[in-house]
Amino acid sequence: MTNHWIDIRNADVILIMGSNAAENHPISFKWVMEAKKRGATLISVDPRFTRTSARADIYAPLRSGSDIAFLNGMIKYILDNKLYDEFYVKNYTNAPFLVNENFKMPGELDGVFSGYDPKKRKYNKKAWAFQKDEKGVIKKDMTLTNPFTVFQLLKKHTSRYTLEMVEKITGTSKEKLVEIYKTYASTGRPDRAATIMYAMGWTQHTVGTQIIRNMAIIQLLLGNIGISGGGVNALRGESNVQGSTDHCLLFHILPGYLKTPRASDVDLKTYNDRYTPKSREPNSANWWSNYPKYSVSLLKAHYGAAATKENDFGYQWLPKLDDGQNASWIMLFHEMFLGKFKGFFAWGQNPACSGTNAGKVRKALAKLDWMVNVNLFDNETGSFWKGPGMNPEEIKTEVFQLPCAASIEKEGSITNSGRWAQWRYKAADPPGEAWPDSEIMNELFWRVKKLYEKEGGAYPDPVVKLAWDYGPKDPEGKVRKIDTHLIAKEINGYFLEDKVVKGKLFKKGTLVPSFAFLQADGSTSSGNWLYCQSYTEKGNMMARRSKKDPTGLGLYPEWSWCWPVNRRIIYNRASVDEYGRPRNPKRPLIYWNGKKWVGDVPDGGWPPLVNKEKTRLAFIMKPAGVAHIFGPGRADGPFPEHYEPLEGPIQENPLSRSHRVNPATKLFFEVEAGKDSPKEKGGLPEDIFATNDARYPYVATTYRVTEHWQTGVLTRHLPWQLEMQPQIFVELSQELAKEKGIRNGEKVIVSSVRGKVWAIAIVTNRFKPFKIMNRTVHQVGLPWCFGWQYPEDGSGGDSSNLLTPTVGDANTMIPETKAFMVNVEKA
Amino acid sequence: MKKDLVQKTTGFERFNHLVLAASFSILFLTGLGFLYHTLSWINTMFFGVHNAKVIHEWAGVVFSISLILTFGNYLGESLRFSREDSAWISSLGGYFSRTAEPPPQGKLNAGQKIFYLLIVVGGGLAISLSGYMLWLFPSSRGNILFGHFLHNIAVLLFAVTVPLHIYLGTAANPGTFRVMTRGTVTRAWAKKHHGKWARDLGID
Amino acid sequence: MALEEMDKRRLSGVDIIGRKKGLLVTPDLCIGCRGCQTACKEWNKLPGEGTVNRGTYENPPDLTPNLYNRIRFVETSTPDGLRWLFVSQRCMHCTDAGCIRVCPSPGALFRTPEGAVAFNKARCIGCKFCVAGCPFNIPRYDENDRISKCHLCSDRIANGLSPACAKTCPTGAISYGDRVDLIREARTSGYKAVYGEADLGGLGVLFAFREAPSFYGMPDKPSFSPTIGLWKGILKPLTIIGLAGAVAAAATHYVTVGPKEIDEGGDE
Repeated sequence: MTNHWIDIRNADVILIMGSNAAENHPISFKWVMEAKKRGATLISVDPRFTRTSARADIYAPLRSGSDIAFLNGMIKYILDNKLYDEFYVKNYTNAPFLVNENFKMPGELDGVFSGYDPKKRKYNKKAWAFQKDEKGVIKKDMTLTNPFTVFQLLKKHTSRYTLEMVEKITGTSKEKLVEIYKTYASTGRPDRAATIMYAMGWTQHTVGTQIIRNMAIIQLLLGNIGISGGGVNALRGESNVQGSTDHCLLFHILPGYLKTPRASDVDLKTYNDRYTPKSREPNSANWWSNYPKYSVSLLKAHYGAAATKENDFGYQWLPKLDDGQNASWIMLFHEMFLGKFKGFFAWGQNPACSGTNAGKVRKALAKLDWMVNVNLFDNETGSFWKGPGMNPEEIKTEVFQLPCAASIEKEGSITNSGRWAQWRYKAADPPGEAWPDSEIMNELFWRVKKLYEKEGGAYPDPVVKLAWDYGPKDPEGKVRKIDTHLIAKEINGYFLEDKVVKGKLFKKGTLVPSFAFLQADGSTSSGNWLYCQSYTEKGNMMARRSKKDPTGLGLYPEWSWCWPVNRRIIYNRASVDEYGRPRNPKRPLIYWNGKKWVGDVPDGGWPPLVNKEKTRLAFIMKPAGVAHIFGPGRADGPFPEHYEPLEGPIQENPLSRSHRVNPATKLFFEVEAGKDSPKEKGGLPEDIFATNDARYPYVATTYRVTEHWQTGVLTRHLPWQLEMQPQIFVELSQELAKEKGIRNGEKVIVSSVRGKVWAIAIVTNRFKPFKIMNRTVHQVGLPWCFGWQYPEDGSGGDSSNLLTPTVGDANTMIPETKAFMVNVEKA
Repeated sequence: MKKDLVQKTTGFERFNHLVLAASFSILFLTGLGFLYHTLSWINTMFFGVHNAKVIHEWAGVVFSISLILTFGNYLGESLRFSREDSAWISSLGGYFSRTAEPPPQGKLNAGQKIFYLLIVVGGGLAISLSGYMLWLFPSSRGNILFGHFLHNIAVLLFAVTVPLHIYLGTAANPGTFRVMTRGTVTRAWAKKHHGKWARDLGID
Repeated sequence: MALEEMDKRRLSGVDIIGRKKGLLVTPDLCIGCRGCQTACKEWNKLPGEGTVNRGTYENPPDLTPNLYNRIRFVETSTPDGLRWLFVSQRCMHCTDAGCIRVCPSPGALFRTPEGAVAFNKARCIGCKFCVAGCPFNIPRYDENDRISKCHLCSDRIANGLSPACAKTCPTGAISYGDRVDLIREARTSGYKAVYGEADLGGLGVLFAFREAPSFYGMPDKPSFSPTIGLWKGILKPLTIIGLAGAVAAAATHYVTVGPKEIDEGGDE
């Protein structure tokens, strides 16, 4: 979230699209309903009328996988009707930037941008470069009239998304489109704000990243970022997903969104040079120019005294990815399926149910020599070898089950979607032999380290040199008991020697007050620069519980702590005019009092725009200091373009004949150009797909329900939850049910080309057939919170991920589980 | 048998009357305890409200069986109406005058017949049937509502008539009480209260 | 002593209205998350029961002795489009409570000082009269034939806490407070009529409805069966009057007209 949960109450318009917040983030609705009480309009756009839709002022259905058409249509509406915030667009975005004159867009190149290499399915992003003057400064046209400005290009690009076209692709009626566009665009004025609440309904598509980009562009056009009641707000699916992402849950990042080194990053200098952006823009803070301070401080936190200037602070001990290697979820299980893994730690997860194309995942687990399943309960992953279709006698995988403590059985921090790191205390001891994760890791680390010390091995240094000072040690050197506070302090970082920074002396061993004090010379450590200030000499900032709210906007600056540096709404300096006055006097987030900023913690203390000399632009994390309407860093294009899901109900992309699916996304099955049907011998049979195929005529999507959590491992064992949602179901329209002779409440079989599940039919008016390209298209949906193992009698059903495809987003590789094709038949 | 005494009731008849009266008393008392919370102490004396409920239920079974057993004794006689009956009614049984006497009556007079048919049989069946409904089929809302209503109408009937029945069988008519205790009455009593019956028995 | 106290409270049910605590249920704010359903079970230690999906999210299909509060899911097509209603079903804590009226066992159903209709299983004799007395068909009987229903978390509110359902509700769709405040709150939020404001002497659970109550599946004019009124208002006093009257009549007769003495010397 650029903003935070409570701030939702400050919105005038709330769009919930790509998420079902009422069901999956029920607490968020405390603030949604509060906003409504204050007069806000709630819009719900979803293929299905959900519990969110039930509370919405405006509801519109759209076909799964057509969000970009919907949103580009909104951009066109905003531009055509001049509803954008001109001041904001000119001062805080790259709309005035000039793109090189050779740049072409999908309207001209039949579905792709300039620089596309169809063989590699990749773009050469140099084709998207901006025009620069002799000093290397990007050329701009502040009148926004030059045809090569980002603004004019966007206008041209989205001109293809007419209401008629959008209606044909999305199945949303023109009237609803206009009603929503008009309502949402009403916030283009400075005194109105709109927020977007999205989740996996947007990310889990082959075009997921571009959908988010699409919305970010809308928010920028309307001046809705950096303001109270605005923002682009991702609702994380688990209470600490934000925290685990910040601390490098994903393969391509290190803590604090530093990049994972590649094989070609041969030394620390190469690495730092490569990932430290350079900018010639005169007023850009280009905050990432501090990259080396953060990377070196991280290495010092990892390797402690062993990290010296001479050995590049232990840079070579970091694991590295091959150049071009993708080690995301889909790829991990693909490689596992191909037998390339010996062992696997399934830590706090249940891939046998949560993984896309779960049938393939389950087969992949059988290729392992060993697996360690760390969880509160046994699950479909730990017991995959006795699951449906498995013959335990033929499975060699040895499975170890390690029971672990639940979140309330240990002390530590969690970081919510609003970036608030909140300290939590232990409420109860874990039962039986269950250990906190940190203790399991401590034990593992100690034993692996011992083995390396004893037996040597290929490369012991990364393990034996690791600093591990998380508590008092026994005579052998093993940490007796992990002290979570020491971990938190290491994440914050220490001064490792007496050091004068900004004219102030900091003693060795003291905690670093904020990331502005981190150094690239090895004199500071920080396990995650973004969290530097979370645990200082003043104490554990995450444990603060003051209800003071000086702005009255619900920022609660002394309740817990949020990154970066306790800034509750990021890019908040975009909420003021050139003199630093709040553009929305109703909700003044921050203002310049002549000497300094007052209100939320500013994105740097530089004076406002009118001080042309000293000012720094609001979007400090962007090299040019402004937000990206034109996004030259994405894998699949600088502007969002509609492509069909891998499996779709229509033969061709109505916007381009040659590119039905995202041209930059990795395909596991070769696709015949023009036809896009899977080619024989093209890939693994497990990865097959079926698009526009009469055998699988219905669009499907998956979702969660309020009553269960993720794959249901925590909730299916709770009789209270199971009582409310006992069985997997498939929701379908009255019309489809009539066509198929399916009665409400009866058992049906839902199948895709990859697998099938039984489900109870919920025949409802909440799904309606769509008119897509003048054809009737039915959509169905089913939850993925069930699994074969529990309830023990099998009455719950199995995971709907047995149906979902092996394909992911072009940028993130997040699986496309929100749009695929199925058939539904009476059981 | 003493020479001057006449047999009015059989041993079985008297025994059954005792059973009926006893079960009625238990039912009436526990019932009052249920009906009026201020009288709930009655049920405390019946070993608490839970036991009182069980006692009420089973006393009801005894009552209803006993009720049916009275049919053989009184139903036939009660259903036979005669001229004396209308005379008895028109003179109100002679109870409101120190001098007037109804004509000689058969074994049962009209008042007894009416009491038996309306109150004992009618009220008894109503209260038994509704009691069984409430007890055995409580899950039906209609049953409970109707049964409860009927039960209470019967209670009202009993509340008004049973005290009078006891009065008439005891203080109001000396020599009557022994009908249901010893089973015999004096000749004088027989002639005075049931002259026709006495005549049929050959008592002059 | 305690029982007498309870009985007094019970009998003073109508007087308690002024200081009555209650719940305001606003379906317009409800997101059907059913946190209340779970929180209720958790607090009252009620077990989960085996169910099946019947082609709806709504589950269990009805209140049970182990389910005091249930959200009904109602799909309705209206001229303004589809509506999906989430409506709490539970004891309404009537001021003129049919269940208390008919209950034959003192203290089995009683009025708490806050005005809730609570129960004491130890006093319940399992007669189920309260079921018939309830205008909303709420009381259920457990496996020991003892009453089971929402008691407005009488054990929580007696200790200054709010009922579990209201405590857990994220959107304020169920809010707890002084009844008069709740009514004012609903009015200020623009609800012209508050369901339960006057019905049955004032319900302890109020509903803020924009549409007619029947749209939400609630009786427009909740009332208990007229036979209960007839019984309580007429038959009960009449029975006592009749009993006393009969005894008095007998006594009067004895002293005025007198018994029918038999002249022993008579004809014999």
